[in-house]
Amino acid sequence: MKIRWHAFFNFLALFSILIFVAGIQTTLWYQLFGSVPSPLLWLNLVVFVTLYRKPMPAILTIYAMGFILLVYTGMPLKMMWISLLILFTLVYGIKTRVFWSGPGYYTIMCGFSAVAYHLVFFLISMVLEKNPANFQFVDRLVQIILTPSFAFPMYWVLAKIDRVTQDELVHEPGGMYL
Amino acid sequence: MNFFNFDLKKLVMIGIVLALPLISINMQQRPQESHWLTKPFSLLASGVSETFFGLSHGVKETTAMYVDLVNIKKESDDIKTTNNELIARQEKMNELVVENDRLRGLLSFKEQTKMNLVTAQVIGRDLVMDHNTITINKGTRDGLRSNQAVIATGGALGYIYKADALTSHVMLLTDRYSVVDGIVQRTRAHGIVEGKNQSGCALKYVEKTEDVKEGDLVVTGGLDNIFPKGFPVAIVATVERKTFSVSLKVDLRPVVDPYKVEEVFVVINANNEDFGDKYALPAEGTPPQSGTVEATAAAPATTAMPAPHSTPTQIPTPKPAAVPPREQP
Repeated sequence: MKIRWHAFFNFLALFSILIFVAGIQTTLWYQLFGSVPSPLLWLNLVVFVTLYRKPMPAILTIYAMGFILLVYTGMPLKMMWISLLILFTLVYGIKTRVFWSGPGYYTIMCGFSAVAYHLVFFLISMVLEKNPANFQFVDRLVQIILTPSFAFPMYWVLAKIDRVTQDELVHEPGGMYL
Repeated sequence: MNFFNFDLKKLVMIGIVLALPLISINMQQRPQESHWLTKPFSLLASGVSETFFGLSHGVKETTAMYVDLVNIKKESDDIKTTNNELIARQEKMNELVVENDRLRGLLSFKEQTKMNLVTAQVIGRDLVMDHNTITINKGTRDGLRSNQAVIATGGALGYIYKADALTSHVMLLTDRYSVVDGIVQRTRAHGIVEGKNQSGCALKYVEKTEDVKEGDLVVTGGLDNIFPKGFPVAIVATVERKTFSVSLKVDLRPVVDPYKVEEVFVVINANNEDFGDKYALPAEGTPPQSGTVEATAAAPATTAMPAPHSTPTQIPTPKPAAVPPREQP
């Protein structure tokens, strides 16, 4: 069996970055900005995987990411995976209809995902949880504004890693071909 | 010979010429008095002198001022630097004083209780805002495990739900998944303290017939095998009696604001500690004693923050008189 080392290193790099950004979000942001809601940096990573990977590897990677993210949160696995699955479906649905390369598109999709994630989570919480989540409008709004603000630098780093690890990427126009 | 034939005009002029020095001799006799004749000239001269003096003085002063300004700028820069250093030092000192107070409170609490406690620092928060958990810098290596109570000096904070080797994750009382046994201290009405949102929780399953009022203190019931009995949890914010409900709807404000706590205690072993009436509210009519939960809750916002926003230094400490003696090893 031929081991695809590039793909392996790409996954490794992706998960390292996931742990890194989750650490920034939970610890560094808290130490620096206290109770200001932190940007959903992990969500930007999920969006990147959804946009620039084939659907099946993408959803599996996203599930794995969700599993790892549980280390940093009290959220149960069901909530994490269901919200990620719905989010993936939404983002992928848009991608199949409208797609162009570059950080601009990625940033727009990160902004959309931030809004979608909060709505999706809120609705799932109302359906699945006995004690549903509160609609903390201001905090959610701050997160929605902050999340795409970090998309540009993240895209730069992630695209660079993709270029180095030479995985099969969809960074060019014609993303419908998957 | 025309000896007597002389020019009278010339004679008069010669006379004047000779007389003037004589007159001047007479004028010199009283030099202290200025003569009326010289007055206009002296006035003019002094005016001119004054003007020149003023001019030269002005030039001198301007020059001196410029030179001074250069020096002043340098001195000002030095003073500013020193001032900034002093301000920074003062801020550092203030921070140290606050930290010192907080640590003294923690130490005092640790000395007064018979529980085995491990001190930990809060290092992080939850990844998502829909869950209220914090991360502390102690883990299984320090003897921590799941379902151990996490408290501050003035009240319960939450419990460990996940312990890793180096860190532990604490589910705060305000998290929607958090459930803790609670008692209304005044009437001993039993209920379950359930998390609600970032700033509050609710006391559920309290019978409708129970006497619960706003401002009542809710303490841990001890049945959850997590918290020692009688430790402050929250203060009743609102009570609602619904017609078609068997239980009361009681909203609570935690006595400790979990997001303002920096150091916490993890209860390794409660050693059957029962706080009993240690945090009891004073009887009705008597003014609240400073340091009690009642005093903290009743105090205006300018003197002490309301209970849900109190920090470990502001929240109540146990009454020394009621402290049980420490067990001898």
